[in-house]
Amino acid sequence: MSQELIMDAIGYLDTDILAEHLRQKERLRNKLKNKKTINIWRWSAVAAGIVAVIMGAMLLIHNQSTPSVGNESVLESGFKQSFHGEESPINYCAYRSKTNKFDIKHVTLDFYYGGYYDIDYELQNTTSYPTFDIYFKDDQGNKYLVKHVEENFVSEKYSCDFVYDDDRNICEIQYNHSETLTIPAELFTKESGKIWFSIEGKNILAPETNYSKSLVITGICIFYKKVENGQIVLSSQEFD
Amino acid sequence: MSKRTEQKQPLSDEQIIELYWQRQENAISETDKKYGEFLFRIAQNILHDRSDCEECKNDTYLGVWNAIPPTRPLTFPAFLVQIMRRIAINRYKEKTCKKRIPSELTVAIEDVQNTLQSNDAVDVTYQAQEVGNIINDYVKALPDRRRYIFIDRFYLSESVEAIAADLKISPATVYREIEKIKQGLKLHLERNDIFI
Repeated sequence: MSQELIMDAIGYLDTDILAEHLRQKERLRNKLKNKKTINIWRWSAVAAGIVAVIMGAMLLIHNQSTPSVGNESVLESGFKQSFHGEESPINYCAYRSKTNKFDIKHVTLDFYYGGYYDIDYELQNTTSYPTFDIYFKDDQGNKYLVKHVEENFVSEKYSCDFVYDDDRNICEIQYNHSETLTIPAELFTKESGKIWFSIEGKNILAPETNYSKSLVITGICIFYKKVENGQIVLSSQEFD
Repeated sequence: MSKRTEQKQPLSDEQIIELYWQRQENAISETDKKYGEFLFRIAQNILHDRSDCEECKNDTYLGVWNAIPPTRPLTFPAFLVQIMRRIAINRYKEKTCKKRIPSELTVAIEDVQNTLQSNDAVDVTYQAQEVGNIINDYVKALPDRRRYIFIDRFYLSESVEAIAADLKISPATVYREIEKIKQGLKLHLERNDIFI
């Protein structure tokens, strides 16, 4: 069937269907505009509060005598992903820490994870993870179960949202759920390597294919390097 | 309400159509004020050239001016979109003729074409309107979200990212839905004796 025939055929779309579609489009766009306006006010108030907290914290730190453990630089990954078209995933995870240097027995980070779903639709039609497991894995095949979660991953609790720029590109991922977890020292087996934070579960609505047998819902990599005095440095990028 | 505030409020569709019937020249400026940006975007999805899009928009307004009266469209936005799309696609055909131009329309239509590949003998048998009627039946039966995606993608040539933003779903989900739409369309055409 020629391209021209398809283009012309689709042009005969019923006027009533088109009219209803345009009304729906306008409603959705107005919702998005209103949400952005509310968000601006909300985030202005939050920003003012954060400034006040930071000022107080700086005053406190100035008076402290205990030296800090490592660098004050922020370690984070998974909040600003760039992807296009079919490459874009549905499930995401991230991590963040105020420091990148840790005692090897206390490598504790904030982990974020969630999916970007039309929840009701997905649960009825295509995607449901009624339970899931959280793992840390090293690059030697060793796996450490952090916990088993008896909740559906496809839910409001484990959802995330996108922040769009003016060109409607995704520039930031916001997560509803996060938790503080410690990576066990026994996984840091080499002088340098990587650790995977992995969420795994079975999609009970997926047809049985080789792809669906993979249990990984989402995951993210953390690079590490051992330094002196039983300490370890982490990075979101591979060390040279 | 003050006169100044009144002037800022866009006119209703019925008021704008009445201006065309009264042959008031501000009918076009009022149309542009209310729908200009949206119409421009439709043209841009197809043509990706600012000056072409402006020309198509002006041609659309001329088309509307010539059509009303005697027409009195029941749904003015749909009426405008139909005219704009036709003008933009005709311009697109002139430009592509022998060579490809980058366009959301090209990508969207090729996507469907690859699913509906057939020999040329089928093309000469079916006219666009016949196939269009069959596609209409298919679109009417689609669930809400898939219908929204079909029209936005294949009629308005919106980008996948824009559709995902409107529906608050991921681009990957939009692509998955497009795949299902294409497979369903193929089956529907076969049931109506358009074999591929």
